Amino acid sequence: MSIEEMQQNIIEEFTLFDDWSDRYQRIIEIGEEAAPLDEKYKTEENRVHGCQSRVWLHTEYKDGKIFYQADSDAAITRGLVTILVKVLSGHTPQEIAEAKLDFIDKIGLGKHLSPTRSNGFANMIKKMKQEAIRLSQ
Amino acid sequence: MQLYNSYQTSGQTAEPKPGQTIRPLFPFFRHNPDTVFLDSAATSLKPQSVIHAMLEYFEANSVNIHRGVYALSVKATEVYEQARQTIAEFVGAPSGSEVIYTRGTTEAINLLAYSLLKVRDELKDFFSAWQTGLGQGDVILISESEHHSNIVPWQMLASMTSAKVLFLPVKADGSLDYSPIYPKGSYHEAPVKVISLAGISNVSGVIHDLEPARAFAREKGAIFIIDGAQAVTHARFSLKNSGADFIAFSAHKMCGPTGIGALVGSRDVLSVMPPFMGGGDMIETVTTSGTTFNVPPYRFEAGTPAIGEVYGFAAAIRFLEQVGMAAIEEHERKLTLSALEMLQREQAIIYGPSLAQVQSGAIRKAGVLAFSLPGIHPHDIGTLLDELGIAIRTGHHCCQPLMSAWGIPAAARASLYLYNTEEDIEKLADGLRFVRKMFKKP
Repeated sequence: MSIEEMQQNIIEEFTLFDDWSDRYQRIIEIGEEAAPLDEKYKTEENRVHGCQSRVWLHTEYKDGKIFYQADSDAAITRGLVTILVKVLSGHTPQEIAEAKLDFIDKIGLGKHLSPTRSNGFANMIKKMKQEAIRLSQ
Repeated sequence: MQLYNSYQTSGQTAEPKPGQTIRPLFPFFRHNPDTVFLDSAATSLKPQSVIHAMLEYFEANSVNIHRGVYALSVKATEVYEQARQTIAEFVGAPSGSEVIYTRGTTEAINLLAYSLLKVRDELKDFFSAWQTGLGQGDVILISESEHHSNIVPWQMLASMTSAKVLFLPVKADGSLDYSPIYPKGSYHEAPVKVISLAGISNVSGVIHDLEPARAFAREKGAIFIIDGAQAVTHARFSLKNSGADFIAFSAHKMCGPTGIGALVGSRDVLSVMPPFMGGGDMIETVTTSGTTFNVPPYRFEAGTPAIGEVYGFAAAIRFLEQVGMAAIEEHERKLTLSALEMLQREQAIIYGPSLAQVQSGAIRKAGVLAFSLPGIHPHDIGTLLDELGIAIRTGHHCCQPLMSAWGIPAAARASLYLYNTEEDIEKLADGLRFVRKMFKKP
């Protein structure tokens, strides 16, 4: 499934919810369902800065594709980074670098996750793209 | 002039009282009727009279000060200089000439730190520890509960002089642990030259007992500075009674505008201190071979200042004086007790003094409440409360050493001021119950 198709799936899933609290509930669940990041990957190098909570991103490059794992000590952030990992993992560095990620606006949470917000969501995307490029070079 | 006139609306009662009845004086609530604003420790809301005073300058009198011979410039200069007197009286300083305008608390502390970098023996008649300038092994004493603004400038100064910064520990209840200096602790014999402490913590809200610090500073012949960012806003503060040599504070935390604040301190001391920045207004004469500096406070005010902001600053003080600092303190005390009761009821973890400690008067506390909910990250609390229109702050609150001392990565913080009400606290309680429900916590 392409990055775009993954995004569409997420958007479809979230349009089922009328209520913002249900959308947050689902984000929290997505975070809970994800396997926690191995403690050995929770390093300073893997920290995503600019987030109010602690966020880690571990990236691997295998057979021309990038695989991510991420974690956060805050539940909503954990859910959001898990969604990003689902959308971007398993794609080529070029696909990831060129990806236009607009699902966050379309699931009705954009106002909380704009680049000026201190949640560091934009930093997370930036780091994912940077790591993809770095590891493939 | 329509905008200007629109701010002259009525509704100003003779003696505004803290609480619900004061809210119409803050246009913010007209624009954001559904917001529960609990972040005044970050910045306070501005009353109409402050906005009006700034408009008066920007619309009717926006000329430069000090150098103009014309009437408008003279008038602006008068307002600007008169404001120093208003500020001095507000913090219990002898005269307006002891008031240096800065951009805020942060700049005030940086100003002191940079001036002290250049001091050699100029201060020896005032402070026995300052026979020489700051050097190898000299100590700047602060505490773990300081805001980064009262840590980083000192660390920078220390790195430039090989002096060192020592930290008084903070207790779990937020109060300062004076055991390293009092009566004879491990720091007691240290060559302390500067002591700089916050009057009120921006995280725990503790109104610190600074008397042991003052006594230690006198014993050591050290300079004693109070970071007054919170201390001057929540209760009546007197520089004279505090025994401090300097106090730094910001207008925007006391109903005034951003971008203006003050450093207040002894004129005699200031008159021997080297300038911080060079430029216009701070000089006496400039020739191609050098410059002689103006007297304080002007020596420390290079460049055209924030004139309109000074209009607003003075208006903020007039507003607070009209309400009365005693009334504000009493209002906050009641709300703080309600908020602590509520947090306890909602099973929150309270960082800082307990309800019992505040009730008994064992620890005095202003309306700044740091808390968390068991098993829920403060950032999640803040994000969900925001959806409900409740503005609190989450994170480290520019106090990372305090967070480390308490062993927590972050905290949620609700802070109260004269326009907050019992209803705000109930709404926060509803919000916290909602957050717990979202996380399926009982």
